Amino acid sequence: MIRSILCSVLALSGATTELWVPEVSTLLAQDGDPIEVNIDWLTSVDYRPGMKLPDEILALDGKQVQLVGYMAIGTLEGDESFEFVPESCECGRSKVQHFIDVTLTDDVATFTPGRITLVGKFSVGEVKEDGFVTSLYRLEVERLP
Amino acid sequence: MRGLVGDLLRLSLTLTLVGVIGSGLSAQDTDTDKEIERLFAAALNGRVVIRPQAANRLVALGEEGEARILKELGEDGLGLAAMGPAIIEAIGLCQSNELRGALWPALSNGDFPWRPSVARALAEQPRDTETAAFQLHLDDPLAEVRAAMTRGFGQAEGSLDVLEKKLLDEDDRARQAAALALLDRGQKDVLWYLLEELKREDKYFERPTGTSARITVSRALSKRGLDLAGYDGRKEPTTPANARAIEHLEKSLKGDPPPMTSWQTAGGPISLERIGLELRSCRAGEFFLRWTDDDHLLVGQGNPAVVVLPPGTTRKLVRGLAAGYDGLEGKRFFGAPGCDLEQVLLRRTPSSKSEALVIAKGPAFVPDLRPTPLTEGYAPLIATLPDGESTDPRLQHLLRRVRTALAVLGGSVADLQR
Repeated sequence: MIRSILCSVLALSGATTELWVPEVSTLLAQDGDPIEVNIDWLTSVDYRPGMKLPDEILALDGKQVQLVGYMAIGTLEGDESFEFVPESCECGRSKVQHFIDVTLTDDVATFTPGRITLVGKFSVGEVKEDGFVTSLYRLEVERLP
Repeated sequence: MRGLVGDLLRLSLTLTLVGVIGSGLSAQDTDTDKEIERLFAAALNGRVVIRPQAANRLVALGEEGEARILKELGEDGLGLAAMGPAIIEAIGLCQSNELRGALWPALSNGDFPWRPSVARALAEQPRDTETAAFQLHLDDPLAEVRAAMTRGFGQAEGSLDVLEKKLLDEDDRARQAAALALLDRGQKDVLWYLLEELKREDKYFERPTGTSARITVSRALSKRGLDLAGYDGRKEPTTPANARAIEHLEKSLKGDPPPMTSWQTAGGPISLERIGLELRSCRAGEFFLRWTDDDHLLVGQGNPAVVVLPPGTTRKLVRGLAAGYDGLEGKRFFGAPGCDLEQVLLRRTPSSKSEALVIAKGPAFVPDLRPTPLTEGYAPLIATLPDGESTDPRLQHLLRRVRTALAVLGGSVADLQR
């Protein structure tokens, strides 16, 4: 039922096959369970400043999500935020859609090489400073695992 | 007298008008100049995330923006490296022949620090006159350069035969670029190769490299309007929906799949990995090496090349590398962010999680960057690498190529008696 409603919503919104109409389990988790979101999928979206993101990504705004990835090399010790990326290398991916801006609400960053899992409140949308988009995806996490 | 007064009045009025118009133009020019300088500074030294946006806006200003980059480039073109990757990639969108002309020598210079960015810039808007230049770099040591050159070569109407040969590249990014370029040129049969990418389930330790490939390729195919019959790159290819979609896509192709090498196929499960050594050098290329619990050396990602080692080799290597880790007093990161990366993964016991250690740096050589206990731990690892001729490009003179990469990344590693 939920899936059929979701499909209808996506169809009405003009969603194309590129949006990967999801199985219900990938988008709508049980109450209280975070939604598992693939970081490669999120950060490889075609995007230019000002462009509307796919509805399936916009639907994640405000939700509890779980992401698995890497702290960006260059994370400053003691900072309350860091960039979360799909690979440990930068690998030519330095654009705003290539990372999740993580804010720690009850902790400070300590650079941890290796893959980590984060759960928190996700938000989507352009945040601008001096006319430049400085973040597209944000995740509010209590503390590092 | 009246004539003189009249002339003076006319002159005064003219000067006033010239002044008004002149000052107006100057103000406008000054505003534009200020904006150009603001964008240039942001593209050069701003937060990393805003640099590409600033660079793109600068070149979107047209000739004036391009002139600012030209000024920095200098007559000898030596200013290019200092401008960094964001401005270099934006040059790919410029109309200026002079700017574009500075990119090719930089690509040919093996010591130029931002060669993948140069290659991506050149491939952004390829020109038909550059087909031969693209072809010259199709066998570059850096996979990202090969992938970009393949894209450019395909768009510049390069030979289909040459593109078909690139389907044999050892790196999945370059192979995907070749297959997509051929698809764009109407060669539908290359979908057989891309279907192998959609079937990938491989991991590099915990990193789901197969999932990344599936997402990249399925997105590229959807973008080209191909109906993927409900295939979802985020899910394993064995899920019922994805298996049905793959079957549907295979049936849509005529004939049988072409013969493929091992590295062109999705491959199967691998044994438990105990040690991983990932080297990414912006000059010497990339290497993905793993030693498994059952004494196999795996070379490459995806479906890796397999070298059988003498029994007991991996456990001995694990003990040696663990001692190296223990000599570092818990420190797991060395250096500073940059295009060079060396990442070691160690699983101390078959059931433990891998422990990562990272060494990173920019393009400049940093003497003794790798700590001595780690360098000592590497020597027995690389002594297991083959160094002979091989029909498998991943194994061809592997030892000497890895040695070169290690030397430029964190410093030379001593030769152990083999």
